[in-house]
Amino acid sequence: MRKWVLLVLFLFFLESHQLWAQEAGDENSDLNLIPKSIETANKEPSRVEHTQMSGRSYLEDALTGWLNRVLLVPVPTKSPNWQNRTSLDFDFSWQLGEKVRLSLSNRLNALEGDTITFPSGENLRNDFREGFLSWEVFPRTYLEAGRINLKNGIALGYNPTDFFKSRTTVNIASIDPSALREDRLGSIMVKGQRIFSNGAVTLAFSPRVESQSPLLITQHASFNPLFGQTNSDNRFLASLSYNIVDLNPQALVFIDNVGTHIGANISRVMSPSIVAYAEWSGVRKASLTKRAVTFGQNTGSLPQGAPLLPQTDDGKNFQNDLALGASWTSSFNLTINLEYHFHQAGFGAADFNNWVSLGSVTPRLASEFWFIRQYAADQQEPLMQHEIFLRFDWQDIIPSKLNVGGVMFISPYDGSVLTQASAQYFISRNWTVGLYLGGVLGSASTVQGSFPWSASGVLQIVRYL
Amino acid sequence: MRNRLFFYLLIMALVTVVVEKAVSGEENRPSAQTVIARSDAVRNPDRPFRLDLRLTEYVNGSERNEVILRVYSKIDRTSGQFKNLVSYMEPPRDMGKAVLMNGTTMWFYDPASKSSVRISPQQRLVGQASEGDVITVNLAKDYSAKLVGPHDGEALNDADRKPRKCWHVELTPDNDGAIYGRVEYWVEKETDRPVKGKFYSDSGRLLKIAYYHKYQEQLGVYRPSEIILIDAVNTKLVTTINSSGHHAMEIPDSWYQREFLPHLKVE
Repeated sequence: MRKWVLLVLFLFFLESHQLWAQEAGDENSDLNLIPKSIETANKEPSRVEHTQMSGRSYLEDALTGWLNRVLLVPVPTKSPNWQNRTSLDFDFSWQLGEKVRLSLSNRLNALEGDTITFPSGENLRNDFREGFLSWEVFPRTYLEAGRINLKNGIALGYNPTDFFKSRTTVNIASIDPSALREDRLGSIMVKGQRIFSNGAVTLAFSPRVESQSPLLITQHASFNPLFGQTNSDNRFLASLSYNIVDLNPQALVFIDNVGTHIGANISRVMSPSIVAYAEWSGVRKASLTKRAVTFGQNTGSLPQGAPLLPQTDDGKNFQNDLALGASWTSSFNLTINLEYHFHQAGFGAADFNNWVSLGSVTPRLASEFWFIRQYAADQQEPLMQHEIFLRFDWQDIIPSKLNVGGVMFISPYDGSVLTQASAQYFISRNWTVGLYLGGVLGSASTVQGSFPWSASGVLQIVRYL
Repeated sequence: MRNRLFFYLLIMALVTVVVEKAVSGEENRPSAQTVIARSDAVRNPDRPFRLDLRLTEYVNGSERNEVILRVYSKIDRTSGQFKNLVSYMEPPRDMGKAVLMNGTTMWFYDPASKSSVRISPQQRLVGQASEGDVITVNLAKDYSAKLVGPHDGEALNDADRKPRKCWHVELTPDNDGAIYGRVEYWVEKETDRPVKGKFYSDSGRLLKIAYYHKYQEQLGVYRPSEIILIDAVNTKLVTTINSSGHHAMEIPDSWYQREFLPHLKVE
């Protein structure tokens, strides 16, 4: 009898064991990771108000300080020790009709600093970045007219195919090129674009509307829209992009008073965490020195017959520009970009040595030599022929609260480094605090060490409206 | 003699139970790939659509951040996978940012710099836009499925702690489009509704745990209106994803081009 009882118990155990096997006891423990506040929260589905307007505006204050250094080639103007900028930034677009949009982008700045007279007209500056109408003539065929910030290129540190980049900088708040691009002026142009299912064609014509204006070497506060910077020449751009073998290539032709530029860029995903990219352009043009001095003479900044810094090649030759890079993203939200920049029209090692040696013993030449560097910065082209760029971006170090980043421009000639580290802390939905710390590694005779400052810091507070 | 009879009965009972369970399980058991395809259909409409997502992030149980995204999704006829355009609507600092996800072609557009940067599959997992992708990914297209666990299913509590009888499916990548190294997935037997997912990296590290619940009728099918996403690396971090505003619409293929990103206006 006892054995029959055992048999029944065994069968019961067998069945119950099967039932037990079907339970996901361990899996249910994951439910304990869900906070009670979520279980009790009754989140309304996202309700988004539909308006005819989209965009953003914010109020920003940025206090910048510099530690200046003794230079071998003295700068012609007094370098600032501090500056404070308060800006009201506005970037919106409105749907005016079913097919027509109006876009406006503007920044109004109040400036104070040890090199800015207060009170004076220098304390206010308006940056009118964009203002244009966009008409969707046919589906995905756009005709746009007005001041447009047209940007091309896929690299981060230097964009050889960003042909409209020259003379668009209005405020250098950071050495990070991506931050520089955030406050750049558009050009008056008419732009047509057709977007296909596998590519796009873009044509743009930017007319001359004002004569060429000189470099804004010192802080020129005004409400001048600076068309003398952005529209002092007739320019034409044509670009074609077509998706093929996952390369996303784009070919470009650009015509300006320098000549006919051709360019191309491609990118490819090499692995789940690596993207490689290349960007190239070429044109027959003179060396950086020759172009800078000619520009200075044409705009009255340099006297006619100003001596030229000896640069190895003074003729007008086909000059190549290249940015070759890759990005790598880790599983912990860190992205690193490494790029090599080649700027054939820039200084070689001998040219830079001349810049230092002649500029340091001939004060009369120092101002012209600095003009060449300022011209290169205004054109957004590198000073040197070769440059290494490193950038890291680490998002969500504190989830949704803290991002940090950094950029380094490394000179392969002497190992000198221009660097900036940044941190952004998101206090709330509307408030952000940013901190930027810059530094130069290298002696005063090196490429990056010859900058007027050895360290800089920016404290930035932003209130989104 | 009685001992021998008892022994025979014991063996017969054992064999009967095991065979019965195996046979009955196999008869009613769909293929793993079918289970996943059906659950994909529960999550994803079969036509191009737009939806809004509200992502609420909790740290240590306290609400810390909220992001609102608009997602435009369409199945790519070649790959069978969804192409997504994700546009940021909130918070104000991210307004107008957009991410294009079309196979391995992925671009991030920042309206502040007016520029697009090509990003890697790993990079798309950075930031909240990836959550839009988590929602629409067609698992059956990128993964090979295998039923694991008991033959007639596994009992599992859903996010509301209600027991559900589920198929337990293990997914392994079968093409480069798969962004996770392995996925464990539980699908309710009766309804084909996903109940839970566990997503692993290539190295086998558990990255995310997802619970699908609050099923509501959206575009003709009951779909999860809330997903609870637990960060398995930092378990103090939990995100809820509430979807709404499902709207079937024609989305031209030309929208999934990097040149279109500046024209994508969310209103």
